[in-house]
Amino acid sequence: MRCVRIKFNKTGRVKYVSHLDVMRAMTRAVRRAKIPLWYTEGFNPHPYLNFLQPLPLGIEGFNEPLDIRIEGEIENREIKERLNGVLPEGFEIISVTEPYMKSNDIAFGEYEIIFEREPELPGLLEKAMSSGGLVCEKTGKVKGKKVIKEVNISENIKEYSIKEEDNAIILNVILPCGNTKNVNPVNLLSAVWGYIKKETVPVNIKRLRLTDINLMDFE
Amino acid sequence: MKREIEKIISRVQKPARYTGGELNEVIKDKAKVDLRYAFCFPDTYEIGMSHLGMKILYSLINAREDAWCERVFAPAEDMEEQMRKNGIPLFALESGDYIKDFDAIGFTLQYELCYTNVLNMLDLAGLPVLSKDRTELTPIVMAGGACACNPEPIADFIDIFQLGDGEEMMNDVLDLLKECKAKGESKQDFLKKAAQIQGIYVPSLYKVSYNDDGTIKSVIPEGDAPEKVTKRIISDLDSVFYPDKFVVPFIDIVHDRTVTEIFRGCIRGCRFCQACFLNRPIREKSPDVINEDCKKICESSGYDEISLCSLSSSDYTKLPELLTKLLSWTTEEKINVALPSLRVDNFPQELIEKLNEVRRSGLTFAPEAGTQRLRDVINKNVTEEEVIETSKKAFKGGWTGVKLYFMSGLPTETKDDIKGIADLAQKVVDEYYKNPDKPKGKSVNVSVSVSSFVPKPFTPFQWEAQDTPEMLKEKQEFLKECVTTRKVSLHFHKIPISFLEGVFARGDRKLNEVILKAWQKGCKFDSWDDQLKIETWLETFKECGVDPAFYASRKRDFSEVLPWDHLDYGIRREFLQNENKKAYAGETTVHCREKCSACGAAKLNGGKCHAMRQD
Repeated sequence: MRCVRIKFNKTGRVKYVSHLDVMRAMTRAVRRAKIPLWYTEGFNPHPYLNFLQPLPLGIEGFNEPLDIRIEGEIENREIKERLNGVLPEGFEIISVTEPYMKSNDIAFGEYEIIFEREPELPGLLEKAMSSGGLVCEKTGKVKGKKVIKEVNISENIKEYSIKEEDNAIILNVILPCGNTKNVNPVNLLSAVWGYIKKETVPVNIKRLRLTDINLMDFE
Repeated sequence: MKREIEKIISRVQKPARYTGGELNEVIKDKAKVDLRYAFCFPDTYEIGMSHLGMKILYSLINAREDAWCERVFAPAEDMEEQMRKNGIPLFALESGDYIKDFDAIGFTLQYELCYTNVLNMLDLAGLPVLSKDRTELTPIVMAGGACACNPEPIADFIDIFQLGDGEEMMNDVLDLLKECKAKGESKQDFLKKAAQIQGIYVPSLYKVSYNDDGTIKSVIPEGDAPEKVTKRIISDLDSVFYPDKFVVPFIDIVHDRTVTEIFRGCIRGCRFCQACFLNRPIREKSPDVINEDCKKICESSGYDEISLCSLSSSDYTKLPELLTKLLSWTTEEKINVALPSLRVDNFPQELIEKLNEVRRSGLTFAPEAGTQRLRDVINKNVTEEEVIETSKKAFKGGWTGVKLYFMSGLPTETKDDIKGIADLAQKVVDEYYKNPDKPKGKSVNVSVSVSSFVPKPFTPFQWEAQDTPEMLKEKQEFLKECVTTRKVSLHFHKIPISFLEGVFARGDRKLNEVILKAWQKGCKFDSWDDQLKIETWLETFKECGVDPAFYASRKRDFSEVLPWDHLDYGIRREFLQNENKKAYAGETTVHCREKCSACGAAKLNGGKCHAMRQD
């Protein structure tokens, strides 16, 4: 048995496929590709697939890591080719390697939030992102009871930049993403709208990559 | 995906219900096809995507170069709200195009309580719900499925009904539609020609008149339309089209697995069972063909489960041969094989062991009635000893629970029969504790599910009165008192649902107005416990001057003209009457392999019936 790390893109309408459903789709794809999988030993044998950092619903993913365990001889290049031959539209395997880092090493995610062009938007975004006062409400549990907590998002923004292109305004932002701390870009956006008292539906949100604590690509 | 659709689906639950893009969906160039077909399932994605008939017809239509078939499901409440608010009409999943511009819209009617959803989907599409208000040739609105056997309650909304097996009939209809479209013919021209295709019922070509007491006087065809419409059947299941690919959904649906039919029809003749009589004569598919179908679908889908589909699966004559073939490759590929419909009287130990090789699924038996007397009345030829004996085998095989299905409200039912349900469940519990090898520290669970009997067309009980909701309620309460152990868990079907089903199942054309009005008042998803607005329905019946009890709770005379008498499903009326009389005499009828009862269905297959095959 050996562990391989697969990196895949999830783009287009499959961004609306939830994490659990992606898991099932990948399991079936691996079966169709006839990749010799390692099965858990027990009453209900099942293959081992581990999506290290689930992608929120509605966000496109690039270089998303997935670890699988295989049994028997098969080259990494072969795994990539076979999988790309059977995956549903919108999924694409980018690389298959051995895992270099541990899943706990994931610390940040880099996101690209794309808006239609609006003249005032870049200024407003800049004002909100640099304000230091972005907060959002999050439901959490205290002693088993549901409570609404206010979370300061500004202090969690690692880096950001705002770009204007011909047809779009792009907010690039690096947010905590990992086992200990996690900020969903959708929550960041709702904090921004709360701050500038205006709401714009983004055309698309992309997670470009996951990184370690030093912003090095997760490998 | 269209941007306007994308804008709203980020605001609804389970957006992947509406995106399409699943593995094996069929995409075609719309400029290169003559016909666009919207296959509509009048319930949510999760339910519709589980339906085998839709998978077959979807692939069958798409196998034609000149047609593109796409899928459409009833949007859930939140999605409907967004669609109506933003002016987005009902669209097909594959292309995202609006179905009002398609050439044909087909509904599959699997249960009566989907009727308001059919209306709602037509309306969401931006089409008039009444057939007479859709004056253009396209889109033609058609419907098929089990409920097409008595389509009268929705005859005003649907242009044509397909009776029986759809595989050949669908192609005939599409050929005709293509021809009429090319020649620029009118909808009326098309309907008249369609009525000449065997299995096609065009309700607008039949005039119904009534007697003073509200019963039907006559149903007279117009012009060349046949006096009796005979259902269509597929004679040879080995050579008929079967898909080698299923669309594989992303989201979790009800039945998400490889399915193949092993035969159509049923030899048993239980007197309450509509599926048995609607699908006769029995036709088997051979093990090699089934095995190949399963292999292809598992390969193209990646499914790890196979379900063999039929009524009463253990009546398949070559079951051991089939299972041996399947298990020769499924075990190694970690694929589970499930047989969902077994009878208790012929379930061999050897089979239990074979099915146990991969993974274990639930065991469900349907004795249907609590006492032998009542089981004889309904011709469920299963004895108490057989139920006990099979449970014993199952417990020996390692199961710690079984499910038992019963019906309440069957003709001639008494309190003794109800109590018999509790007694039988108790005996099954006792059997578990008699097993010396039972797993240590594990308790048994006998789950008893009780539905309310609904008399259905084309069954020997089609003339019977359904128990009133009050009577059913009383029986349920009594059964609760009879069950004294926690090892037996009781589940009941909701009575208002069964009542409404009882009205629609044997309804006539007067119900069209009621269904239209109830839908206008917001009734939809009536088969969902939490959505059925029974008060609104009762109010609407009153407003329309229609008494629901006339349809549900009234016993009919053999001489009465029934709303579906002009439709021919092959079963002779005299046979059904005779079976009805035998039921009251407590006499059983042996199954078709022991002795042919001359039900009449073999005439549909040139006199052939696989029940009589000697090989």
